[in-house]
Amino acid sequence: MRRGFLSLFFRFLQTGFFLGASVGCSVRALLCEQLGLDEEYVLQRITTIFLDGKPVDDIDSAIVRDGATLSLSAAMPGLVGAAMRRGGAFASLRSSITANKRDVSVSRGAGFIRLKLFNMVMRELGPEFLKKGVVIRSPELVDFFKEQPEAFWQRVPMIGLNGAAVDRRMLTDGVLSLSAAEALPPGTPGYPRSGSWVRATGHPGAPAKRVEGVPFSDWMTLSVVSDSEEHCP
Amino acid sequence: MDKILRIDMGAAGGPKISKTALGEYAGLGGRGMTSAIVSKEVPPLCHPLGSENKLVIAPGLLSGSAAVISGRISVGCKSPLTGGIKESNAGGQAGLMLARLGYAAVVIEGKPKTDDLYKIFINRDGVKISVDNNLKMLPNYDLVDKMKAEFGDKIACVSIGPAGEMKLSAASVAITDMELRPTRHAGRGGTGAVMGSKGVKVIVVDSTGTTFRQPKDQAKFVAANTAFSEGLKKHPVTGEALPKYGTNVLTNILSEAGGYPTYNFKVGTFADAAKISGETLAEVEIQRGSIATHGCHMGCVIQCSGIYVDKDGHYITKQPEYETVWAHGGNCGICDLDAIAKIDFLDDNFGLDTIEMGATIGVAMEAGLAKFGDAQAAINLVTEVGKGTHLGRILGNGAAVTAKAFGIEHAPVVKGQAMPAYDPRAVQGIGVTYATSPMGADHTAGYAVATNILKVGGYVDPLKPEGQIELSRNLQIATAAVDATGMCLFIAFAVLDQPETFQALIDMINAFYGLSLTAEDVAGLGKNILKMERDFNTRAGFTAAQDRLPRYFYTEPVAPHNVVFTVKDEDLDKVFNW
Repeated sequence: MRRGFLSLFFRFLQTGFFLGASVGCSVRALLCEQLGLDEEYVLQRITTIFLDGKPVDDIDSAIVRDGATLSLSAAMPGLVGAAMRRGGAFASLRSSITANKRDVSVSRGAGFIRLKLFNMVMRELGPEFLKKGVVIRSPELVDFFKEQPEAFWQRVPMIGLNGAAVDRRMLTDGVLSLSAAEALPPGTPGYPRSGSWVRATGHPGAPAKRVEGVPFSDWMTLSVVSDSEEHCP
Repeated sequence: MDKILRIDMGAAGGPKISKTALGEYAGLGGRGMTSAIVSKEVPPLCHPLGSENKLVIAPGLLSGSAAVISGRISVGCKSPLTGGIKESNAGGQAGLMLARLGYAAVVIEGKPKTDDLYKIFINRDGVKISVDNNLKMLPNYDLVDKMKAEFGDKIACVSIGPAGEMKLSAASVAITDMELRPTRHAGRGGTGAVMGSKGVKVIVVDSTGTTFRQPKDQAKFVAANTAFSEGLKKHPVTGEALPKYGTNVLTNILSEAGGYPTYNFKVGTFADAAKISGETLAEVEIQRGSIATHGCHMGCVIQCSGIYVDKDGHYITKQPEYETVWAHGGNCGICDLDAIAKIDFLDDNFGLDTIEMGATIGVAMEAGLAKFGDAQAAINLVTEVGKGTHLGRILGNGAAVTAKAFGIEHAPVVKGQAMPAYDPRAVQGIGVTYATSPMGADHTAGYAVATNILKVGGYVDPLKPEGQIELSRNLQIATAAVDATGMCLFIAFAVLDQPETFQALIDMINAFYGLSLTAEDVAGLGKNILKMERDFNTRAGFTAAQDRLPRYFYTEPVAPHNVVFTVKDEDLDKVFNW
């Protein structure tokens, strides 16, 4: 079976994507109740968690604030990998950076968080996020496209932008910025209905909500469409 | 493994070969063997490159047997980098081949009176040593090609590149892998320089005609080996993360934690970490038609390595380790995997420790010799070392020497050896090990073995900050013991979480040697090794003053957590109080 198409875009899972979420809740509540992850999976598989760069030991007392970055990983090798593990035997080795309750005083409400997925967790949860669509910065996507070798483009025959098919050179040569995509008429011929391709959607006219100081209108939703059975690495 | 091969390179009339019984070294292997011989036979105040130093090469206790993942080989000596005792170990094929030939150690002693370069050939018929000056200044890959042409492809090579011949303190000893490539290195501490000082370019080992070493109790050994192997395969680290992504899977995690030294330890996170992460590295390898799951020696069931190829599918190097990707990547602000792979190849070919060289290039960049992030400049600097230019000889002697030469305060070293890829301000526990290990700053000196399972030093509350001293002590003890077995340290993760896997390891040793060791006995072995090493260093002039991090780790906070190293000196001095 051919290698997974979705995995071509795993970089965005590692660097992080944005999610609208109800913030002010515990890490456990966010993962299990809002993202719908199985509690057993969270407890047994996601054994390494960082909240704003701080290792989390207790997923019930660690509170997710608006604008927080939450990173999820499986068990990691090495003394330091083991030290980062949630409530692990070597947690004291990194006690100076451990997340604890008093780090946060947050209010509940709607907000945005940044989610990063690493290693086995990325492999297992990532495809579903990519299919549903992940919100990322437009320039990140353009930079990503610019870096890709010809082999990548042989596997990505099509980029749909706000409902229109666009030539990749329009992106990589800087002729078209993604945030200007709304100028394209929807329904341009060649827009695929099946196969494996990439769909990007701009957010023109979105509320003037700012995430990390960047206007929301500079963000895209990236969706990876694949109608073939995926076999991730 | 019932004998020790000794080669006196300084004997009258040329190198003299002798084989001796194990004697007082019986029951030792790997680091246990190298540190025992060095501690007992090498004058601690000798010059590391002088005739009194000895280079000891020793397979582990289980190497050459059917025990899975038991092929590590230890190389020991007095270190030209630290001035103290050194044990550096590597994978590859040589350990298991030497063990099958019955050698518990190869000890190279003395110093030739001429500048001739020697090659040593060891097979079941005996040992031959001959002058071969055609090998002078050959890089490791070319050297191995020559050996293959001369001795066939059933061999393993233990060799030095030009760096070892130039006796640079960052020089490694290379060990060939299953594909007969010189990709596995006893890198740390300048062991290659000591081999170079003995005039030995390569040891070629051919175990053709030998079989697995046989255990005393075959049935129990097979059962324990099976249980041990299954334990490794079912654990999420040894059975999934390492095979899928290799050790470089740590890049994202450490950067996220703010413990990833970047720009010569200036900050603790690297914005481009995802571009060089293990996840990305494996993806690149597979997309280019290569493999991301591969072993470095026969019998490895973890398979944390891979083969890195260029865009056209041509071999560049083995899958670079986390430490290498960090040293030449984030530490130098470089996020180009192809460039990092190229530097890894250069390090292997010239015979250089990737950690020391990456840290050195970071220092050189801070000194203004190149800009952070300039991959081509980094390649050029490493090439200078291989050529042996004046600048290259400064760089090839490591981060401390380079910092001194260019007036840089920020030399991330302990006992003269560069720190690996974890900032001790963010992960203070590893700073304790960096500071106090007899080896100098060394991440593997205190690896993750089940502290509470081993029951060395009593139970440690994992959430108490003050547990760091006890943890470092216990980990150093456990690591020394594992290093003596020939087992890859990565077994530690399965042993950490699965008591039955740890018991299987002890059962395997007991069945092989007809012993009845307990966990406490294994800990005792680790303590004895550390005691010998500390004793050697004390006699070499080391005091508590050397068991410290550089001052700037105490005074300059590292972002993003803005923390400094806070472990007190008096606590560091308690690490070896057992």
